[in-house]
Amino acid sequence: MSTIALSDRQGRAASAGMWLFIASIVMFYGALFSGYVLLRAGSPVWETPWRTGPAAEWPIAVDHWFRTMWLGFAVMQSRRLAGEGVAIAGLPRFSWLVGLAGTAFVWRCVYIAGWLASQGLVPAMSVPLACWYVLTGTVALLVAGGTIAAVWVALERVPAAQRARRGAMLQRYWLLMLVLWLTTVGGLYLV
Amino acid sequence: MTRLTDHKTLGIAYATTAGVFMVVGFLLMLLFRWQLAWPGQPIAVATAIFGETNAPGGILLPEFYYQLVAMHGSVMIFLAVVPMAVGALGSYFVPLQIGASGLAFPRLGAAGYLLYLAAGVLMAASFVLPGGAANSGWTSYPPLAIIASSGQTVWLVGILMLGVSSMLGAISVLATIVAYRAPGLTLMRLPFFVWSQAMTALLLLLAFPALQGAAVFQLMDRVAGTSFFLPSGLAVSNTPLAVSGGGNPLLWQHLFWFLAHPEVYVLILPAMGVVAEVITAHARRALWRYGLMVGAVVALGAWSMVVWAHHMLLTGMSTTLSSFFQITTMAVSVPSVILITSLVVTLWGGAIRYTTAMCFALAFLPMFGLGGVTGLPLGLGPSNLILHDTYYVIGHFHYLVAPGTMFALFAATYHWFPKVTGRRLDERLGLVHFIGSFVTMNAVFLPMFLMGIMGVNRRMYDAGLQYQLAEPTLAWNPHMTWNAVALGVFQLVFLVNIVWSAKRGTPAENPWQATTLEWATTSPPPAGNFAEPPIVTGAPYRYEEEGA
Repeated sequence: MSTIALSDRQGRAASAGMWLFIASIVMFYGALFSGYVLLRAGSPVWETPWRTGPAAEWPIAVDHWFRTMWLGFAVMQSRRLAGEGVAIAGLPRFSWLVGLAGTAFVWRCVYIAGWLASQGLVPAMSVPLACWYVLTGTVALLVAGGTIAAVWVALERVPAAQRARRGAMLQRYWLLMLVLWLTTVGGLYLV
Repeated sequence: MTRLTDHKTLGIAYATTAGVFMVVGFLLMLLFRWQLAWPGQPIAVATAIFGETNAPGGILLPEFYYQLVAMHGSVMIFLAVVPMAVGALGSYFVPLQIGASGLAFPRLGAAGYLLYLAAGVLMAASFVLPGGAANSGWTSYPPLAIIASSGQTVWLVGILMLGVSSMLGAISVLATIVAYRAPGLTLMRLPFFVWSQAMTALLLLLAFPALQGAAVFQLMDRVAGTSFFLPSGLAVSNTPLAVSGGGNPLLWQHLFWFLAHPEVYVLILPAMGVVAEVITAHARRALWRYGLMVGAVVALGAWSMVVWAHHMLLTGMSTTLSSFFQITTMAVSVPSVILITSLVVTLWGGAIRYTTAMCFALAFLPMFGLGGVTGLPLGLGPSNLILHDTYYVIGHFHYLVAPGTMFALFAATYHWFPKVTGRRLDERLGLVHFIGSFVTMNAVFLPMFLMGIMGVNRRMYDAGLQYQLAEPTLAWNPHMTWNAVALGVFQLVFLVNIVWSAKRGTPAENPWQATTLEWATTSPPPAGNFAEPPIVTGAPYRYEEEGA
């Protein structure tokens, strides 16, 4: 222990902090998702208005899969960011790519929610719709947070090793986002 | 912000803010205790202070009474006791006790405090909103909470902010313990207080998000008109609510108690940690079965997350589920008993010094014991049927938190005041404070068990004036209220002691000759805490060694 350098300690602390943060997010999303499961299990009828009626014209589920791909792309880029580090002089392009994918994801979430609302499918209409808004909205918010973090890493002027460490932290977060999104999509569309 | 990044400043900021909220919570209690003692009797200055809307002619209206009760619980738990036990003590003493120069993420810690402060101010300010503050109890059960006044929305926003604040603080403390321990300070050499803080932080981190999730749902119900917690066909005052329905009010209870039961341990575990530190130092004994205690505190924290539905035994859950939660509830008492037993046995053969800190720590043991033992009938279905929602419940949890955790916080103050200020608190004033608090707290809370057993329901604006079964207990309420007032007077002695001793108290470096790491530096500690990084070579409690 006595020989542990300060940077090593900072690295351990950062790693522990990130895992703890992820655990906290998992519990938060877990509470929302278990609420969804409980409501759905206790409801005799579970209508999914985005599949029927006016919303059927727009294949929202397909759009969700596109967004899943963007998230997957973001994870891949964050892995590269973590694995290779970034040249100090140039733009940390992987981080920018993560930011772009995240922004596209959030934009689609907002767009779809706005489109549904314009069709009269607002959260107050039914519990299934309310669940749809809350679950997708929560993931969108968390992705927005990750996007800001990715841009932050891109803009920060720190040594390559430090940036790589932050990239590794970011990568864990984006992996979590992918898992949460797959859970959401699976819970809303496949079950 | 810059200064708050120093963990000592942060700890003092938490302590001061939590102390202010404690006074606020106490004053709210005095107001509704007046109403319980003399139902419908005017309070001289009430109209001038609270206005005609809340107290016409000095008489507290039921709507205002319920605001006082709901906010007393919320303020005391979320804004006073937890921030004091975790934010103040954890931020200040954990880095010192592990030989670190500060917190791993000082800016996170500071941000956590600022969020807590903002949430507290927001929640307290909600009294001035039209309709007043939240008035659906600190548990905020729907559907009542959803049709309540706008103060409930502010309460929910405050809870969301407090959740983020807790998360930031918990991450900061846990990461510090993981990565910044002094060389040689292995996990099994950590002071017990650090273990208790680590488990507390973990509980906050994992349990609070459930309440945040629930708060998001309830906020949606209130603001966006959704029906997460509103069943179909709900009518208020014979008028059907204009909502879609289809939700489940019990969902809130599950999510709320998933946090709120571990929250009890968030209140208790730091108290256990403090009492362990005080008893070892003032009895000159190492903790009896340290390893067992560590195991017990970890088990207690983990187990506390699978007992939540014993608060819901009467909600019509299945026998299987009910049996499961009754069994887990009985089982959670095992690690608690291990902890209390270890602390008591530690005293055996010790050279006990009856300082004020030690008196409070010793008083904690039977008071917490009483609070714990009275919880057992509440965890069993048949007895819960009788005692549910009576004053017995109020007595039970106040014994855990008031003469329980609060006594431990007092013990911590007397024990660590020299570390923070370099001066001792006055022992004579301390003794007055201890005896006064001990007598009056018991006089306030002990009758509640009897009231509950006699069937007197909690949350009654008129103290049960209209019920024959409550009639014999009505005469007790004025005595309980006068004792609550006296309790406040004895806290003034405590405040005077703090202010006076901070300037003129006897200078002291390590008056208890304690052997844990925080005493290895000067009092108060310098910037960076230690002149030389400490190297740990043995157990934290070395009182039986020669010369210790």
